Amino acid sequence: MVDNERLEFIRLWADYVRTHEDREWSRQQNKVIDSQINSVREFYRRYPEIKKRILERYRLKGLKK
Amino acid sequence: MEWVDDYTIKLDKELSELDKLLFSFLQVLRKYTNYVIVSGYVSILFGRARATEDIDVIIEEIDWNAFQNLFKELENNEFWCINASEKNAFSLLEEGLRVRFAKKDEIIPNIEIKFYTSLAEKIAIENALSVAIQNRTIRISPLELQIAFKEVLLASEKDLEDAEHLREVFKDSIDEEKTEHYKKLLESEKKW
Repeated sequence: MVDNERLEFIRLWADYVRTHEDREWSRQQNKVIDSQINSVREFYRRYPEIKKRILERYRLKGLKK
Repeated sequence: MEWVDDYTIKLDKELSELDKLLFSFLQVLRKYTNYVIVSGYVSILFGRARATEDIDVIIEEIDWNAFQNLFKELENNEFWCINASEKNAFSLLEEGLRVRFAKKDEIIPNIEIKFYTSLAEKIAIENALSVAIQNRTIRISPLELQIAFKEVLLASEKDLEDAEHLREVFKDSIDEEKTEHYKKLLESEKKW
């Protein structure tokens, strides 16, 4: 089930990507990607116990198909 | 972005943290085996405005000796395996399971590798597209197969949005007949 409003935004952004220079859309996209990754890094720096628990989950996940 | 030929797309994008991580991983991986990138990162590579915790890479099977060398070289390049030791990692791969590598001291984002086990994964490797970005070339799944995979097999809200993004960005080049063909193939694999 896809939210129609979200889908409309996806289409608008994809149209922007299609019709603009790669450097232009990627500069904006990178702000989203890099800030999310940096937030996660900061989160794990602050909360090493949670990092440890997530790691354990990854190890268990590796055992499932 | 532009199609250079039927199997090559040229991208002149600025690199994100995800791109840099992947390129540094592939610099090592490509010495040992053939690979193809699938799933969410393919949509992200072409502009989808979201991050991901992992990048999925399907590889051709390698033997224990080659894997040991790959593992060592990844470690020398500041990667570590987050879900298994060297020996266990190889056993997981042999069982058709996934092994994840991240930069040292990190767990997200990570790169997930697995040996190809299904017909769809074999098709993805054998028919991979090349994407040229800043003097590098990476191999990704055919777009039609990616769309079919996300719409038929995964089908979560995020996956359907990824598929829609690819459909819109490549609206002039997606071969709908091919997408339908892949959908039928995946439906039949699903039944098994």
